[in-house]
Amino acid sequence: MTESKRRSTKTRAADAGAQGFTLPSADKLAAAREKATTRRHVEQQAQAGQVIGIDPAEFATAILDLRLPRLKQEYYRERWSLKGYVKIEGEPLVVGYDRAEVWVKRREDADADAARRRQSIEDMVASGRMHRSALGGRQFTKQALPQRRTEII
Amino acid sequence: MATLNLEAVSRIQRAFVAGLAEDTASYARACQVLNAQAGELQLGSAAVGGLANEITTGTSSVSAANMATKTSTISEEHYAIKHTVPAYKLISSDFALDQAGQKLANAAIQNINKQFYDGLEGLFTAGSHPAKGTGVGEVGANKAFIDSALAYLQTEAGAGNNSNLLTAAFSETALDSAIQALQNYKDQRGLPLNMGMSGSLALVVGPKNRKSAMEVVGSQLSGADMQINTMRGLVNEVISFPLTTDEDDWFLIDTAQSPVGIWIKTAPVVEVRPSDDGLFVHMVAKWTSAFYKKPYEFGIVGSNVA
Repeated sequence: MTESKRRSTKTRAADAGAQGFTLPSADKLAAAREKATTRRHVEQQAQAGQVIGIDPAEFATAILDLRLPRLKQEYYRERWSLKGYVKIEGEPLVVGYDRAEVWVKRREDADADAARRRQSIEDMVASGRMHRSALGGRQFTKQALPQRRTEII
Repeated sequence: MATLNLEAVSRIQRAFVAGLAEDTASYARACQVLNAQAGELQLGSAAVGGLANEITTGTSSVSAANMATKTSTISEEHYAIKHTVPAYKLISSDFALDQAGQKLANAAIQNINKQFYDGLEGLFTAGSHPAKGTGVGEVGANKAFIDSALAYLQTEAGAGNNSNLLTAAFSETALDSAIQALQNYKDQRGLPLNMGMSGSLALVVGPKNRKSAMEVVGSQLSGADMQINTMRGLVNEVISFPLTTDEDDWFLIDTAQSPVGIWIKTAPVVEVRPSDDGLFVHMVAKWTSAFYKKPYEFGIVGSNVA
């Protein structure tokens, strides 16, 4: 066993105190480890731009980078407010963002608005303001395979 | 004694070809333009590959993996713009005849441009993905081309989801999220694609985000900490076009993959000719083009706050 490992925790704490800092307690370190494990697991599953702790099946989100100029921030707040989004209080964690503001609306409302957007596209195509490519044009897709796996001998 | 002022009775007419659309072929900087001469365009994609099996001294066989193919068929679309005016009217405004050709050609090309961007705006629509469905090689029921939870290895071991949909205001961080999404993207067999690293990215924004986009991509330095701007080597085109449905939407497209694009079967042709009876003049622009989507969405990320 090395000299440093033989030294007791109490001695190490005393040494730290002599150097002008205090080491965190064992409980605090264990809690931090627990928290880090959970957070890392969540972050690894989440993609950049995803809000941690919000179920996308329940809420649609809109993310505002708080490093944007103030006027731009106000513009988006106004736009999203008109779209029925409500700002989350506090600072939720958004993967990849230093500081972000998150706005939400219920998924069923977002889906209804998406359907309205499609209807508005259809109306604009009908009135000649948009091209039919906005509705997919004359395109269809077929599948010749799947080929289920077989053994190669 | 009064003198005759000849200048007062003469007339000088100058006509300007004004109101021409600019940057009319910007779509060509955001996608691969196909020029095939055919009645139909078929774009096939195969879900082939995946993670390899290791062969060791103890290996006596290798299991074959599933594969799937998808073919998108795009039918040709014919377009025309036509003006017919009485021939005698053109005598007093002969410049109209001169300008008609140029303006019609310009309008035709801008129509193709708009065809592309309107097509982009439709990619958020549910059910717009050519490979939507719940089977092998498909991405999930009623999926949009730009959507969250687009399945790979569906029904198989290792199944997971890609997402090429962001819901963020355009910013440097948001753009970085989009690049990360392209890098993390997995193909239909679950292999990471690491797209966007070859310097072939095109960023498409509306006019409101043009300035920010050009600054984020073009600046020498990045952020308040003045680090080098890593976007410069990755995004080589910033394209701004007035989007119709939502000016805040934005797209990042890997042009090397070009999951969407324009097929031009017949380039615009402009004709100006008199009618059979000589009473009218027909001015016509005509062309054949279509917006295409490849069967899979690899190579595009979009942001839309619904």
